[in-house]
Amino acid sequence: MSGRLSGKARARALYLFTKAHLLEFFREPGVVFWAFGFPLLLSWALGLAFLSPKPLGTELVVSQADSAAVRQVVTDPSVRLRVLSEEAAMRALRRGEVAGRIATGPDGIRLEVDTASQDGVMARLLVERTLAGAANRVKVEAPVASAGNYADFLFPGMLALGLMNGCLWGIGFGLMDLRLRKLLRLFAATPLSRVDILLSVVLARMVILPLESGLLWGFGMVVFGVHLHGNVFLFVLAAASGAVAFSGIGVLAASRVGHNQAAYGIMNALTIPMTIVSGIFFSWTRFPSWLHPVVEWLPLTVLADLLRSISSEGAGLAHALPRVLVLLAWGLLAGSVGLRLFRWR
Amino acid sequence: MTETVPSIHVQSVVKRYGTLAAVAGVDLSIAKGESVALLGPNGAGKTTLVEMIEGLIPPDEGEIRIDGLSWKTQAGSIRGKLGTCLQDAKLPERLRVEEILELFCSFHGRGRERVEELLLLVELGEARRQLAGKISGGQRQRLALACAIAGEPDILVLDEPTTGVDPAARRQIWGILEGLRARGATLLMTTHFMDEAERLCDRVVLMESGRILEQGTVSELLERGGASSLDDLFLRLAGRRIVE
Ligand SMILES: Nc1ncnc2c1ncn2[C@@H]1O[C@H](COP(=O)(O)OP(=O)(O)OP(=O)(O)O)[C@@H](O)[C@H]1O
Ligand SMILES: [Mg+2]
Repeated sequence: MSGRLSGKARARALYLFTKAHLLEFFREPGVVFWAFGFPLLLSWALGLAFLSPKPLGTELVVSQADSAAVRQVVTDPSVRLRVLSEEAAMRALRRGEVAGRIATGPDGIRLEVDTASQDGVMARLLVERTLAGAANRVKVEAPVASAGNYADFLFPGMLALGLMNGCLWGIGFGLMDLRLRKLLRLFAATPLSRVDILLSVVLARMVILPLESGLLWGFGMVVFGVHLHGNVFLFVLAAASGAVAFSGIGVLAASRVGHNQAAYGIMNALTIPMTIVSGIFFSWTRFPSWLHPVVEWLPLTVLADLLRSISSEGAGLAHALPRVLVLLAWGLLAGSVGLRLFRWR
Repeated sequence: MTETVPSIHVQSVVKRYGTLAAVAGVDLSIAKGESVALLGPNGAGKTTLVEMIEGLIPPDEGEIRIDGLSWKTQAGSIRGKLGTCLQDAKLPERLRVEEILELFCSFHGRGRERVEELLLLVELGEARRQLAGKISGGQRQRLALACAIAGEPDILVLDEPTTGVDPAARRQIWGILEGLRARGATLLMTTHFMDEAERLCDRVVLMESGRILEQGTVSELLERGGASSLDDLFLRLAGRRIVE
């Protein structure tokens, strides 16, 4: 028989091999749930938790006896009053359900709030404002620019997280799993080149990822009104360069591992810290500043920030290009080292 | 033409894992069309030797040539000639029998007509739509064998092709292997079963602790060693039985 495959035969082998990975993927119901269902559920839960219409302003307890008198002077509707018995008032205060207590005193209004807390300061300002009648002297208009809501922050991050998990689990763990099932060396013993074996795994993932990402983004648009301000092609380019970065890292992570425990260990060691520090759920700038130089260049941070800047700030090519290059560098560097170290058995 | 090159040529091959020499200096030559059984107890080094022949692990010392070609420089050409069945290799569980065969045929540039031939040859036509994870052990071994011969290789290297299957399924696999031999394929197989070695192979190679103890036809070996059976002979040579 002949040695190397001809171009056409190679393309057919690659196509069938990629299709085989996809069939294996879609025939595993659990995997489909974790890949498609779970990210939606998670973003839905987070979106609801942070976006549920919590009324603005402040809420204070007041006794039955004082309520009418207080309402007469504190007319601002953003100061809500909750009329409670002494006992119930203590309970509400301890639970943090209200910002403080308001009552009438000998010199007018008496406000009991913790002025070291944000809620307390808010309550004080609102009450003082309505007493001074300041609300009528300042004209308030809508801002020319504002930070988006939490969903605008969350969804680009969730998209980045999905790309990371898809590549690291799909390619990295997928390759380790093939090695552990001794399938890798079974394939390695055929005339198909080793690069093509890896390529088929990556290609299969490149079919799944757009589906996963599209579903997640569509969900964000429909359910939470997430809006893409920047250029859609730039956004896709950014996402694709993220996929390159994590594909390379996946190959590197998978290159040596020969035990089941180690496979799970290395996946968790990679994904969990990045998920926490890279600012998916809240901004990474909240971490202590000595961590910033490290966190800033992690591929998940770069990708999440890039997607966010394109989607909510409408950032352009000049801003995106250096970051795209950083992601590509991550992928090519990690991937080529991984390929050199790669164990086929 | 010059003298014919052996199909498999192994020269002074050593493979170490730490301080253990899994294969400790082996010479072995297998002529075209010959079939050889590698017989030895657990840990004798059979799989290590076979995987070096298959080009899956590089030897620490020595040289291996397949049809005169070296793994170091002509790996691509060798892979097209060699069909391999690995010891307890799994097949993709969520693929159907025919999907797996089509995939392996494509690795050799072969199309659907070869899939049909293979299904007939290993008698898996009825199970073609079943998932590989759902078929019996005997069916799985036949499927693995079909994958190994997808490219109609001249040389077959099989690591324990009948381990873990019932006697009826073993005889079925023997039938397939006899058919391949009759067509002139070179066969190297490892086994723990003496009857299998006697029935399928021209020559038996006894291996223990990474070395070849004896080799020859079964009758030669028994005569030379003055033993009544291969098991008996092995016990005398190695001080332990092939199957404990
Ligand atoms: N990757 C490895 N790392 C360390 N030691 C190994 C490795 N592979 C094999 N060995 C050791 O080399 C020796 C030979 O193993 P090998 O698998 O070749 O034996 P075998 O004859 O095929 O045995 P069996 O009949 O059980 O399949 C054994 O002692 C085994 O523990
Ligand atoms: Mg073995």
